[in-house]
Amino acid sequence: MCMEFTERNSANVLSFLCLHPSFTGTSVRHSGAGVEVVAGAVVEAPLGLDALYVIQAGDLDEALAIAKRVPPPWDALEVRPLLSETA
Amino acid sequence: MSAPPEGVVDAVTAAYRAEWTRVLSTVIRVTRDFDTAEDCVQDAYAQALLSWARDGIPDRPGAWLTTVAVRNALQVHRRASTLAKRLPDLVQEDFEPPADPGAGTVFEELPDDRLRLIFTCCHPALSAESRIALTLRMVCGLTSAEVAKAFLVKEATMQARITRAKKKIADAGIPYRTPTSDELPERVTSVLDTVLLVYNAGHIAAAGDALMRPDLAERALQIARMLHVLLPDDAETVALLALLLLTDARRTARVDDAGDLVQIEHQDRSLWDRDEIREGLDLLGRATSAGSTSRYVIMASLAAVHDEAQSWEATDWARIVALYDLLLERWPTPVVALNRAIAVGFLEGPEAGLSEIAPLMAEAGLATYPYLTAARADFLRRLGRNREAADAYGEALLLTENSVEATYLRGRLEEVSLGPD
Repeated sequence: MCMEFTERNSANVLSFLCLHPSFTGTSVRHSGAGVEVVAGAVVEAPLGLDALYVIQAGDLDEALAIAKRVPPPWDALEVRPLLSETA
Repeated sequence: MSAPPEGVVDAVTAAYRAEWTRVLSTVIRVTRDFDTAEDCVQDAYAQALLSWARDGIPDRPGAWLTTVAVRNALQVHRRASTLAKRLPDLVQEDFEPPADPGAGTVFEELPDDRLRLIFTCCHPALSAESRIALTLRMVCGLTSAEVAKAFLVKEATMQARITRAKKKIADAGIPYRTPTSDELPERVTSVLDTVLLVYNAGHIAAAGDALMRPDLAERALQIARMLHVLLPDDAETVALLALLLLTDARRTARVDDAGDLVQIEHQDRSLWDRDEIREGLDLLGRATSAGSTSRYVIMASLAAVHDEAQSWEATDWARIVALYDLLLERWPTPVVALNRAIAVGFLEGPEAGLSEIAPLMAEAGLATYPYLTAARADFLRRLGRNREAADAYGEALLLTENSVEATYLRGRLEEVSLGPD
């Protein structure tokens, strides 16, 4: 499904990453005792991060229109500008 | 430097109120940058004070201000070429900054300039808070200090809110354009909701010493009128203007000479603004015949029932309850449910009102809503259950932060405390 969406929107989708479910995650976080390793995702389900797309759009409205075309199932999508376009 | 003559100050003040949106939105088209445009327009108004005192007030103050502000922007551009650097921020269509307009050239507004500005300030990607702040600052030209005062926050807080909203527009790439006809319904809703929130903030100030903030109510009306001119065929825009007019018509009757709250039951109906009512009813008729049954149409119809009643006793409560039933279907919020319950109390008697209110007492969304306990207190008072009423008034007093409302509630509390239990 990811692939089909990506291919159909190849002009805009630069890359995408699909993740395993959030219970497979391990978090590293700052605590009073320094940095500790904790089981699970930083953001608890049901709003865990499942996939990440890097898209190219002329403006936010275009980006939102592309986001709405991402195939289900998903509860919510967040669109955010990239801080820099080169890694 | 001597102070400019009073007539000039008045003319500049009037031009600020009447022309700000037009001037700023035109200048943004040239600068592509909110901040530069704001500065250049502010400067143009300052220049007007001197220039109009010297040369006389121009025939078309708006065109004068726009032309001067554009010239200011071009000077900024030439000095630091910031314009070129900032172009990508708001760039949408190809636009060549005009050559120096020079003396005698008048820079004209394009029809879509103001719409572009307001649709950008009310883009759904901005929070309701940001939309309100940006609209008052950019569309109405209020200073950040004035916006801060209206919402009882510190000026620095409001300034930060406005700066962050502008940064989001630039960084997230919110386009500076009018929506296409497909997008229009959703985008108009976002604008109209913002205008209604501004109006509500003025209609009953959330806190403070005055019941209302008429300045905010007037600003909201001003934007609603502007939108109606710019989008004459949009039924929802017509309905919102109708709602504001039909509500605003009762504004002067809502407080007495001492500044105390007067409930609609006791208002002097001869103080209601008949012109606003007539205009509101006419607009409501137009929205309805265009087939709209939206939230705004229902709310405007509710206001109209009160406006058209000859007296409190003659109020058509059956129609009000029916309209609230309709509104609750479309907009099922606890506040609407409460208003419906109150209407039932006036239709069928205070006992019925109390039993309609009872299930709402457990509603989390109303836990700190002073009007819930105030309504309960009122029905208990009408039933002569004075001791319970006193408790409920006391509770409502703890929840209200508006001192005019508090005075009203204290008056009622005293009244029931003197009566038999």
